[in-house]
Amino acid sequence: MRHCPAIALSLGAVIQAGAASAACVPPDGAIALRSSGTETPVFFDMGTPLAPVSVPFAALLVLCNPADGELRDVTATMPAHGHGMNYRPTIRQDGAGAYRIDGLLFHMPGLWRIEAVLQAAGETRRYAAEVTAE
Amino acid sequence: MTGRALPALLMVLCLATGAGAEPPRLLLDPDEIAATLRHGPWPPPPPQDPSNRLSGNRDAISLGRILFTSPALSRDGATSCATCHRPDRMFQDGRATPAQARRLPRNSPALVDVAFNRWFGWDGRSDNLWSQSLLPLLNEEEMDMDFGRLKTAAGTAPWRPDYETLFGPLAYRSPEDVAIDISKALAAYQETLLSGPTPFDRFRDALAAGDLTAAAAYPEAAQRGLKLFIGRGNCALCHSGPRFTNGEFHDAAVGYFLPQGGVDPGRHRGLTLLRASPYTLDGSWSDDPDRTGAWAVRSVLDSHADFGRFRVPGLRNVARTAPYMHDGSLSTLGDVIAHYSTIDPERLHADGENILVPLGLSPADASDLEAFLRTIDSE
Ligand code: HEC
Ligand code: HEC
Repeated sequence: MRHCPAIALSLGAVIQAGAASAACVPPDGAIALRSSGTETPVFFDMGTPLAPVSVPFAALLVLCNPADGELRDVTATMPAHGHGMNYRPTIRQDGAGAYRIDGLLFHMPGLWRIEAVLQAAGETRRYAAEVTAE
Repeated sequence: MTGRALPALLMVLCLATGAGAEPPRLLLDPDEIAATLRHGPWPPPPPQDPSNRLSGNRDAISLGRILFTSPALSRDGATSCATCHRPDRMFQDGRATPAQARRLPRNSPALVDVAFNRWFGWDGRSDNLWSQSLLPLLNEEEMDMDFGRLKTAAGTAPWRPDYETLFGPLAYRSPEDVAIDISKALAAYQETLLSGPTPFDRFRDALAAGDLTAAAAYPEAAQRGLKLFIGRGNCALCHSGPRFTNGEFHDAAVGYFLPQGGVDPGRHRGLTLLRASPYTLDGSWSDDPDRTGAWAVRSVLDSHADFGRFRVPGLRNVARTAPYMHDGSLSTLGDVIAHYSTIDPERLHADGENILVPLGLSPADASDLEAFLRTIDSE
């Protein structure tokens, strides 16, 4: 299955992150979003490995270290078709370093690139990973 | 997932049916089977609309059925919803566009399964069925009423007692209340217009159950057409899920110039009308304190590509809803398939999605694709 490498990646990251910070216990099956600016990923948990098609869903975004920044935006685009989502998701803080994102809707099957924009101390960092909608 | 155990079974089936004359065959590979399963199951649980307190109410449904064919709701006293949404024609009219629609000529959509929509109208100007049902009552090219006339009409209509049983004395309802009451009863009725399972669904369910012998009874031409639909044709990118639509808006290279000049702005204008409407799921006329579903109108984004985009129609019972497209410009399913086969990329938005390309279907491919579409038929 196409999504397996991504999950393997995220499990690897969970172990790494776990070693780095005992407080960081990302949910099972969460996807690791990575940034070129740092080793530490942020975790994106849709509750399922494959995103649904054209059905709104929610996800949790978890930072390993709340000091990594504040979540400013979440977007998703389809690289193959050059379009994003038709809806702007809403972001709600859900504890330190944790956010609930509602109103995500992937309106086509295929590969979507999720990007989370975090801001810390005047610096903006973009974390990304690809997920499959099916 | 379910596809994983299938290759072995397929082998067995092929071996078992090896010799005899023309044994039924299953032509799909495991990935295609997995893709097929995503177009079901059907039917889904019946729709429920928390924004309409009359949703599922038997008295409202029977009043709605009467109102749907009631010419008392039109200024000319001769037009009803059923004029353009004929019960004997899947609740559409078989015309390219209604005779009286001149300003914005659009094809009358079939109303079967309409309650499952996220957006209503070709341009998605409504986010719920009752507000969409109010529009034709007020549109001067449809029933051409206003709130005051609707209340007056209710006063002398044969269905007044049924109305008052549901909503109380007419005298206590404002003209706007009456208009919304009527719209909600119409919506409650339209929610009951549901299609049943089709030969395609029996095929899909047999695959889901792993009954490959039953599945192989599905005609080979339809299987080949299905393979095109989910494969090379890319159809399932937009016509996805159990209703064969993603419910969103795309450019399928159908012209949007109007015969009288000007253009049909499609989704672009739909969004403007939606945002101006007091009757959305986020408005005070919704009966749902939780505002279920209002996230969509709150968070839907504008895109310059919305211009000339139209809602992807569902394809259930499509063989019985000709003519096709938002302007009714294609008369037969064969014409639609020829359109996708020879599509002119110049007619697509320059910043488009890189999905639609001329498919160059052979006559055999085209007839297979049509055979497949004809099996999504609940008759
Ligand atoms: C003169 C013909 C005509 C009449 C009369 C008419 N409609 Fe329609 N209906 C249409 C057309 C055309 C559309 C597509 C409109 C658009 O997208 O701009 C439509 C769209 C709809 C839709 C949206 C369907 C979808 O798939 O989104 C609903 C629901 C609907 N009509 C219900 C009604 C009801 C209820 C009445 C009576 C109160 C009614 N219509 C009267 C022609 C008509
Ligand atoms: C990019 C998205 C997209 C793809 C891919 C696509 N369609 Fe469509 N389809 C649409 C849209 C949008 C419409 C309505 C266009 C309009 O009215 O302007 C439509 C209309 C139709 C209709 C007419 C239905 C009706 O009730 O009027 C049929 C049939 C159809 N498509 C079949 C197909 C088939 C078969 C394929 C593959 C060869 C396909 N579509 C590929 C988006 C798509």
